[in-house]
Amino acid sequence: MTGRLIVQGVRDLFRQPWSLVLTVTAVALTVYLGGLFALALHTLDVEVLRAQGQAQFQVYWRPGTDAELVNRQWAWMRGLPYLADLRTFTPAQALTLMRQSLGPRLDIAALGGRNPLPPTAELRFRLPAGDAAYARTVYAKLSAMDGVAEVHFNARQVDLAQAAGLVRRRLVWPLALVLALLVALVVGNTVRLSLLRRCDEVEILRLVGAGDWYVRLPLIAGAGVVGAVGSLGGMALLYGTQRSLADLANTPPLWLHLSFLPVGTVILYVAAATLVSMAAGYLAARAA
Amino acid sequence: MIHIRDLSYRFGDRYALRGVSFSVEKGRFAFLTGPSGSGKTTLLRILHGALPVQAGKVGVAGCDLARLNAARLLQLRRDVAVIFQDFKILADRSVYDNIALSLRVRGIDEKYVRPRVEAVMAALRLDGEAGRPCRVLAGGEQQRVAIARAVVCGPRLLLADEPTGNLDWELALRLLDILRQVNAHGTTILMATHNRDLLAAVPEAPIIRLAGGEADPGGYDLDRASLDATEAGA
Repeated sequence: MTGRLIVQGVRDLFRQPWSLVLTVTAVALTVYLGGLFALALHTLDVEVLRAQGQAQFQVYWRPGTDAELVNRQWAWMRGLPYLADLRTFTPAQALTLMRQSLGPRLDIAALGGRNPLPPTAELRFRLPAGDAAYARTVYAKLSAMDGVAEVHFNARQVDLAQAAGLVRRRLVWPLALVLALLVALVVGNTVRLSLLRRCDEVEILRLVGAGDWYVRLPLIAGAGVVGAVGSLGGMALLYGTQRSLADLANTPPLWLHLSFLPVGTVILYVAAATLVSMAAGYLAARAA
Repeated sequence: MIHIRDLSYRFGDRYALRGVSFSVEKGRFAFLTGPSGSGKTTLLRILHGALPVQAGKVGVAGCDLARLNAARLLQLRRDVAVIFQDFKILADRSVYDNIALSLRVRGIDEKYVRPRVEAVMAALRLDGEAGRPCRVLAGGEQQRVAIARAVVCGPRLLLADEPTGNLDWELALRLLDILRQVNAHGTTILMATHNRDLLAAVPEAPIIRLAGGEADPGGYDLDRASLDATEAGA
């Protein structure tokens, strides 16, 4: 019986084709609008967080620091959470690199057999989500190590990335709520209007002994179909927009790689719009 | 099956029913009659739970209508079928779907629905109309659909509000025959009509007469006074 009621709900939608078209269009445009924001945030994720949103540290020890101590500290660094890459240089390795880099311009003889370079290390971290202070914590730990003379890190980029992450996190939920509310209002209002048109029918169903489920399920199913079709339409529009802008954005001075939303996000969007529509349909159908 | 004591119902200041008392035993076929405006439809609507009990006591199929909650109302409407004066059929749906509706809302499997619907359609000469939407049917045909929907589920109590109003005499007699068959299977029937020929066509049926908002257990002007007095119990 449930299947037949769902089919009935879908068939009922076509009894007011213009209402159906307008509602699906409204849902599609709402989801499209939300999708545009999601696309912008996704691009921000890809371009800012992946390319620049990494904390990079250069650690310089004082010349002549005990090599055993430095080795222990490097071993400790390897165990740091979120470490993506660690490159270490003994004074000898650093000098070799400098010689390779500078070539004959470096006068080794002038050093008098002494190596003035300190042990150094380069650390790259992937910033943990939700922990804006992590880079500064690591900076403080590295600076406090015995023998360390100086620590450099890309604070500005980290701050930018963290600001972007903060904006993203602060935007996502309010945006999702606004979109859910919009979809709910559009679909819920349509179901209510449909109920007003069909109040005679609902009365008859009640008079012949139809229970709540029998009356409401077709309305809820219809609302779900409107949400699903509308959100798929919105995503299709978004895909078209992404395809048409991708080449344009990937040129100077933007050099933005505008990729479409991940499949999981698209499924989440469609599922969320469908569920919100069904919930709105349920709330509206409670009047039935 | 129906027990009414001192039932009164008002629309604003005007009494539609005042101090009505009568009983209809299980399995009986009874008529409810009276002039237009005497409260027949109001009484049937109360018996069906479509109007509340304002004063008095009303029991239908073991259910006290003064204490009706959502679950009891649902059960009442599955026990009690109604043939409405204004048909109350779904105009956009087919004849078949309208008749099948009262079986489907009871959750009856579709394989049992079809034979029962087809049998009732044949009995009411609707078998050629199964796929037609009800909005294109004539008034008499729509009334037969409403009747078919009410009888197809074999209710415990069938309330009929002027069910022959749009039918010619031959079809009216046929409907009466169908209702008597339904009654013979145990369904109690209370049929509102002011058609005296119909009252005469079922001589064994008691008559409850409503006149000016009150029940008159003395019956109409047919010779059934003793039977009416027993049924009315007033």
